Amino acid sequence: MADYSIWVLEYCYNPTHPVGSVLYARFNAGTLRLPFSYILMRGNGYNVLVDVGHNDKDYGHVFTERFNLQSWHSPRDVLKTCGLTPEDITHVIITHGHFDHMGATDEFPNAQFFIQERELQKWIWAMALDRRLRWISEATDPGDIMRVVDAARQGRLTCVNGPMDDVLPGIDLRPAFDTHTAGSQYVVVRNASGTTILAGDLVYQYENLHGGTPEDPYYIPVGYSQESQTNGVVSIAEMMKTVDFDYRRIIPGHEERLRDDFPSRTTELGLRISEINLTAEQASLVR
Amino acid sequence: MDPRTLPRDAIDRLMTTPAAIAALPSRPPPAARMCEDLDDATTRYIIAMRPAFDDLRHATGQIASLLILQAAKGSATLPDYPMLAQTASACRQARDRVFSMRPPPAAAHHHAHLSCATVLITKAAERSLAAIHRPDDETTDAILSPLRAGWREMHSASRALPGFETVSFAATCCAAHSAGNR
Repeated sequence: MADYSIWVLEYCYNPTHPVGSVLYARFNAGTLRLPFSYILMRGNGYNVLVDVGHNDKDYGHVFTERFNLQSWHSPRDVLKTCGLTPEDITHVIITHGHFDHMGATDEFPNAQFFIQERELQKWIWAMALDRRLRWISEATDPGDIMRVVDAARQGRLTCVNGPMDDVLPGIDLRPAFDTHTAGSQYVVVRNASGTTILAGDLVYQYENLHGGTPEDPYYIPVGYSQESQTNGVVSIAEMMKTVDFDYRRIIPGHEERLRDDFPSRTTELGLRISEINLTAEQASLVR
Repeated sequence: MDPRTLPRDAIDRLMTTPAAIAALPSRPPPAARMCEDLDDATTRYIIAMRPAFDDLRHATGQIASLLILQAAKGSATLPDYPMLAQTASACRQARDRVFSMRPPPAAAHHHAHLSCATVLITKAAERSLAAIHRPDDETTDAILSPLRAGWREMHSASRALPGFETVSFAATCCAAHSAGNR
């Protein structure tokens, strides 16, 4: 069976993020520290990233400033703490097309990219709509789309249609259409030690998986969905079933408390690395 | 400055040389210019130009998405609907709107960038309409080159005045909606 080490790599964070934008309808519930991360997997000769973070070169820098994001560092700096360069990354799986997940694609000149075709098709549709419907397309940065053109022209982009088993040995892609975005997907990693799901923004934090009552869990939507919250909750149910209802086997997209459940350290950049799984072939990045 | 009157080599320079924008008039004020600093004429200018800016933003996203699909899936898979004609038409409307505007002094720098963006993105849209189904590198380059240059102008415009966002951070998971962002 294939085996991958898995690390969550923080690339910046918001120290005072409203709880209400993370957990559906939790208005006036204060703020929390919200990490922005991508995920590194190593094994079987592959260096795989799930998402790439936001680009700080263009409009992403406005995002960094406006939302008081702290310690933003480039993929080159973040990967250096893992002994890698962006050029070492062989595959990138994009969970969805928001700028904080798909903004830095041009940093990875050798990677093969995977994205659900539905995400692209829906952008084309949304950007043809009447101006009164512009909310639908506001979160997509055309600059991010343009950055992917070169990868596509070089034959480094795979447009996936629905589920895809063994995109790499032991790694499956599962669509969650019409949820957080139209073409969202999540990643199922079938390691020898058990299955781990990398949820992207289908799950922001653990509360989405247990509602704040792990002893009597229920699923609650993420704070923001462009499509159906109901579909989002159904996709959470599918994920939970896949991991035999052990919510700690699902890695949320913006969960600060990974540090409590997995070996973690803060790097010299002031950013957290959490070690979700470690195989015998890899050295620990947190010890 | 009216980019419609620019000689062809000047437009070509804009497509290939980001530094060419340095030749445009007057540097913008600090990027963090607050709304309360705006005079009425500039506010009216912002309101009038927002639709044109949004049309150009949408056109850029549409054309780039189609280029991705063409490259990744082949031109046979491109959606065959009148969207590209609609996009080119929207760009032409944006062009009319931008060039019929006499900007107030505080908006001159913004208007210069928006005008260049209009010319370049409209050119990309018209070339797409004519040739996007031809899957050769030369055609793609002919579309992508003005599209990228136009997008750089859009970024410059977005920094020159408030109210012109190339992506809205208020409509995402990370929207903070603090008092300053309302």
